[in-house]
Amino acid sequence: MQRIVANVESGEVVAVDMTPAEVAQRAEDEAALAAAEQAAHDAEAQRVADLQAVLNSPIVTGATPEQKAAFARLLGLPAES
Amino acid sequence: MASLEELTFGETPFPSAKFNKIVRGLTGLLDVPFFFKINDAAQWVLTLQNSDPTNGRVAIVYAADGVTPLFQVDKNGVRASRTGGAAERVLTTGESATVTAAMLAEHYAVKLAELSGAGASYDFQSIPQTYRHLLLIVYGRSDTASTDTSLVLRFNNDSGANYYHQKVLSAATTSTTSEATAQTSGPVGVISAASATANLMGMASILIPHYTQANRYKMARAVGGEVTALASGGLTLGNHLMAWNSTAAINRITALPGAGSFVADSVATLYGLPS
Repeated sequence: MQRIVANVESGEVVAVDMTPAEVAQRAEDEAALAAAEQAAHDAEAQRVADLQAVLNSPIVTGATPEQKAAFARLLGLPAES
Repeated sequence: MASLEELTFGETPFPSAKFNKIVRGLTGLLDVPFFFKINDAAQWVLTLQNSDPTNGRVAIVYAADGVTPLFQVDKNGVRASRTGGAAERVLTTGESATVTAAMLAEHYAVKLAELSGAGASYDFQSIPQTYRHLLLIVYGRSDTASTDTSLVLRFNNDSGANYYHQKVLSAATTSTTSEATAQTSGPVGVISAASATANLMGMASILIPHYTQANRYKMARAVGGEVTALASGGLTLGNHLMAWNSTAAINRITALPGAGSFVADSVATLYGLPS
């Protein structure tokens, strides 16, 4: 695996083989990012579930389908919700 | 084409016809060229002066129409036309006669480096500290087995948990907002990846203001997005703010996919912006 490196000062550009330590660091980075993105995804899923619960609560169960759809749009729920 | 005839010293009777040709040639009435040549290290081949202090009009060169000035010298200095249109100011008297790189950097964005091709990361090192802001434009795609992945930055090769970000991603009619703190790299965008429709890319325009500031923390503001399919929901608009928990001036920027490597035809261009 190579990384592309520029020395901006000198203008030199080279492709450098990654060291084992850099490859290991890269794997750690990917895992950390994946965990952060999963956490964000979970938080978003929870937000949508909360809104869905509101949508299905007695607050709006008596509304017409059109009103429920408008309410869903206001809540920012995906169109298929 | 008319030509001049050489005058002979002492010629009699006076060769008025030959002399008249010279005069008519100098006044532009004959289609004859003039050529002045010397071989002298100290002397100027041609010296022109207009002692008039009001306009000081010294010389003018016209385009073929005889009206449009291509080049003119007067008391304001030198003016030239780049396009055959109006002559524009080049330099005025008293200014430096050399346009330096520093002068350009003061007024224009300067392309500092461009990296492209397949690679795990694009690493800009030894960034000059002579600009006010940096602008990094990334056009890329990752080879990771996913529809897309993040685009992240790392400053000064700092892999500590010093990056914070807030982002909004919008696709179809839905926007999602998220944040992350104390990360080991800073997300600034999203790019398409191996499971996206072939040849679709992601991009980000990343502004890094006051990157040489050595007393305060740095940040990056990015707008961009990705196209993973030419269909509803296949376009994602990204809006990122990233902060780096360091007061160090930025002298190195590494851009890398959140997972995988950049594929061929990906490219990242770094610009220095003036004050």
